[in-house]
Amino acid sequence: MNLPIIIGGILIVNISLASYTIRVKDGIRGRYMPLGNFDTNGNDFIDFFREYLEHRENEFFLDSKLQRMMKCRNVTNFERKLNGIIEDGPYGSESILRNIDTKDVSYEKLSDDADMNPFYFIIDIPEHFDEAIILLQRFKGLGCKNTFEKDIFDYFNSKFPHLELEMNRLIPKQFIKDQLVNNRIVKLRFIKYNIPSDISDIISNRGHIEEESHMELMLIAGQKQRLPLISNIVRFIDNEIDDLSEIVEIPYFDIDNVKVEVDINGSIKTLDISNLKKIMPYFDVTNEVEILDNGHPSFESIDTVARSLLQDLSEAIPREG
Amino acid sequence: MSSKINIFDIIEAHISTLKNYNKVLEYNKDPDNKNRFYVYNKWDFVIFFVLPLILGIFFVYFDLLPIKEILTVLVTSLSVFTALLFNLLLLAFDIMRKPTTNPTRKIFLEEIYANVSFCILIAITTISMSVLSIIFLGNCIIYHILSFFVYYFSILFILTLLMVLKRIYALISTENND
Repeated sequence: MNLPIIIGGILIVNISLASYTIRVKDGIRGRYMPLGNFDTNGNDFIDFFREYLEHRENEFFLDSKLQRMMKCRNVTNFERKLNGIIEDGPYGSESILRNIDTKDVSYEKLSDDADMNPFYFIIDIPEHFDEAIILLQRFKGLGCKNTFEKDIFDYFNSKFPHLELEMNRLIPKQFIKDQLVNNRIVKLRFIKYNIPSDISDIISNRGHIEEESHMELMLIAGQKQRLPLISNIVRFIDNEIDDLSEIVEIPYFDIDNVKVEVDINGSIKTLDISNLKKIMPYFDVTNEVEILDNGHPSFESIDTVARSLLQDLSEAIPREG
Repeated sequence: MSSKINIFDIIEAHISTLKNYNKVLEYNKDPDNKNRFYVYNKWDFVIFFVLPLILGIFFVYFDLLPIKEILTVLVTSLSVFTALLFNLLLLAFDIMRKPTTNPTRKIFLEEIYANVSFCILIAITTISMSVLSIIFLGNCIIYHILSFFVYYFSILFILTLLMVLKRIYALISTENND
């Protein structure tokens, strides 16, 4: 599935899916447990997650510190996957809701009113691997990840105090590589953070000073040119190259960072190669789903897209069992 | 002093090149909260101005004074250097005239111009001191004082020339490869 990927969090989209991994860690032994049998009692994580969702379908989660309220609904279970809707929203402040046509006040939101939005989710919990993949819908920059994470962590800790739950962004390297290979790279920026004190050393390195006290060397592609070094950058992402300096050898210029500006569907996005963790794992699905009159995507359409994406991600990332 | 021989601008321009460039950027970001001398590299001042002072005092104190032949060679060689440095000045001027979009390069060229000018100034000063030393060879006190200045300015000239050499090398090597 070839979905536009949001790089650097700059692209503003209506509806996207954010990808994360969930793992169970034995804090004492320091290793990750297979999800089908993650504790000494042989508990299966999918049973735990199902129980958690049932609990959350019946009861609201209210966090006074985050000032958010959350609930689940429409939960379904198929194979070793679960999907449904998480309703999540903030409270704690007042506002006035007005009708855009009449301009009249429709409702005066009070501080104990929570503005709940529905967010689709789907999770794949493999039996023999230690990593589950969960997709959480985002809507106009809003998401439910923080509330969901806090809630499920607290619930898990109450049941299994000797184990730790981990939830991390899923950086799909294959997707990043696909974007580099299938799109035009317009600029390669090699950055050196320590500026030499002598200006002649700066000139020798053919650099120029940027405002933020670092030096950059840029390779800019012409109108119809493709820049070289893509294969080396891909090798760096694949960990075949450890050092950024091995991407390209520049005399007297120790590379501290490499940034790649990629033309994705006419929009220039900056990819920070040395820190892939900064890449927000959001997949833009706005054009793939059916938007209802209420402004939200239909469950069926986003579920179809999400299942396909989940399949691709499961194949793209190596997981240990 | 007649403005026609007022060389303080050259001295000032050269001293302003003795900066840590990374500190220049920090200073420019927040000039109100930093001393304006923050940008200067104190070790540059030690090497270029204090070291020749120490060596000059050392040689004079231990009576290691230059003899007439040495002074003559010094005058001759520095005269040649002065002429060559004037040529270098013209080269730097020629390169400065080429348009560049790199502001760092523009500053660099201006600094080279200041450094070469200062080098010429020091060469002329050393030549003058050397000639005066030859004239006052018989007068012990004046000769000692002039010897100190000969040493001081000779060492300063060599150090400045090394600085100019490095910068011209950087300039021409990037000029050829661009």
